[in-house]
Amino acid sequence: MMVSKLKLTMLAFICLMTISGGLSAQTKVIDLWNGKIPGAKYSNHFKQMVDTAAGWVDKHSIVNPCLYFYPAPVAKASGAAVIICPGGAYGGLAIKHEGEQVAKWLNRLGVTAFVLKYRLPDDSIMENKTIGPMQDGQRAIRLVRSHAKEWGINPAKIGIMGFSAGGHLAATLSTLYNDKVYESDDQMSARPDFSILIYPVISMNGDITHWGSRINLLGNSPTQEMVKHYSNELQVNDKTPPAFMVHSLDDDAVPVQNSINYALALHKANISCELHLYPTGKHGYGMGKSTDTESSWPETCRKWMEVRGLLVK
Amino acid sequence: MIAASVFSQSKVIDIWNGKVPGEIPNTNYKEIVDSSYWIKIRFVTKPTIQVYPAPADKNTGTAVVVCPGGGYYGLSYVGEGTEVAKWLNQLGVTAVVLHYRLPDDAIMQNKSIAPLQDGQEAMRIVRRNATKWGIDPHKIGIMGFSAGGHLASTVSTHFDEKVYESKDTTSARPDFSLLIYPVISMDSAITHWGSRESLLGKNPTPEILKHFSNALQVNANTPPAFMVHSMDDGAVPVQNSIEYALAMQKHNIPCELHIYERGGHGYGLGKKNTGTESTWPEACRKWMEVRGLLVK
Repeated sequence: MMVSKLKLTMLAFICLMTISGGLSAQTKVIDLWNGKIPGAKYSNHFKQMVDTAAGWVDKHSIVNPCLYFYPAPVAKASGAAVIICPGGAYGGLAIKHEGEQVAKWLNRLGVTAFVLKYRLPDDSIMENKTIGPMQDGQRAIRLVRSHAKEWGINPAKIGIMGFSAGGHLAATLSTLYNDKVYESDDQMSARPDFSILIYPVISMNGDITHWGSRINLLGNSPTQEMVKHYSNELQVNDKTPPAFMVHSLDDDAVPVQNSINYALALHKANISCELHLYPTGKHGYGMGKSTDTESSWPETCRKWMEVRGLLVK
Repeated sequence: MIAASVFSQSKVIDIWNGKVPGEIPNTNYKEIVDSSYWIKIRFVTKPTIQVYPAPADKNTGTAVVVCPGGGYYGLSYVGEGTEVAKWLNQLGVTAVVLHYRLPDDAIMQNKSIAPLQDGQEAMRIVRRNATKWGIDPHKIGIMGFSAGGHLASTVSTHFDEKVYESKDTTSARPDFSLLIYPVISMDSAITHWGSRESLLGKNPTPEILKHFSNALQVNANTPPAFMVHSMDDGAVPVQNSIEYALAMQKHNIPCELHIYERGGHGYGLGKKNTGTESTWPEACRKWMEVRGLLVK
């Protein structure tokens, strides 16, 4: 009796380890700061909570930002990797339809994916809330690049991807990768090699910005200097990474001028850029849920990545 | 085999039956095929449409009037004409390739409206013959490449402008437009100068410039558009397409615009290209499908 009980317990234990081991093998969680989050303050309104079933992550449950790691299947891995910034107006994260689902699609193309669960700007947990997401983003890029070899990634093929306000973060990381927003102990570059921006917020200019995202990031009374600094169409130069962009002309949340202005800025700086404007879809459609043309954007993106040599070793 | 034989059944129709509006007769003026630098038809005196019917077994009832490009100087009638007709036929769409007059003071009283006259009448002829040709009169689109895109967008925004005495009240309004690396604007900042000078001469008034800058002429009746442009187009700035798309958005008219990173200008269907611009025909097919243009 004792032996079989022991066997049962051991069996249960082995099962548990296998299951959790199996889960980790699919979605390994990489803590970005190992407890040493730059400029962090404590607030009892914020409590780290993970609910893997939830599609929306509330900002109060993100204390320790992390990367969810989705490695490409070994047999088709091209060596390219993309860090995905879900949207949510800098007030939360649409972690499934602008995160996990995107990661799975990238894996199918042979691209390794990371979903960045970044901290959302808040004065109660950040000394400088405007740079909070950027700190997490730069750190994520440096981390991935420094582990590139170990993870089967080409350090020159690390891209950043973002949806909506996550697109603002991705564009900011693409233009301000040299901004020193935390004391970095490594010299690793935080520059993405390419960017994929889906119905992105780009600008903080009052005429065309997404006000919810702007207020969350810059507060109620940002200086003109801050507004300009975080308007990525004004920060493009000849080192900005090439971009693939998508926007719907009927988007009444984030005006299409955000994408157009960024694309034209890249064009002026002779940086390769592709922009697809669809008549329908409005905003927030993730990988595309309709039978209309905006839902064909993933195939268009796949072709762009293929032509850029990102889908072969 | 069937497609090939149907293709050879294309018929040529003289648009004006000899009575070209505003014509200045000139027997020295003869149409030629000019092969210097690129292959083009020049000195069109008798504008025609060449009808390539959709194969009967896949006819969708949709027709497209195709305006080749060529800077209003010549007609790039293969890559932006017959090749495009073949592709449209494969989709079950009837193609009508328009050999429009190229503006010339020697044979036209008002050269600036000659292509528009030909474009409007081409639309009317197709619509008048719709039933006879197995076409739905509400599914007749216009397509144009480069300067042909300027013509197509001009017809799309000036379809009811009286530029000649029409024999009836048949509408010249396209039901949709397909604009491929189009010239849209005559504004000196972004226009294609060759096309502008060919069409409007050397000293157009600001009024004329505005009239033929089609982004400024979009209104609630303008047909929906599918557009293609390459970011690196060194001949026709991408701003042409962007302006038109934004004007369409302002008037709540559906518009789709694909700006590819490369391709330059003049690549037609892009069959010789390996860049992303070579995928535009599939994007166009999808757009037409979603709009119900590829089923009866």
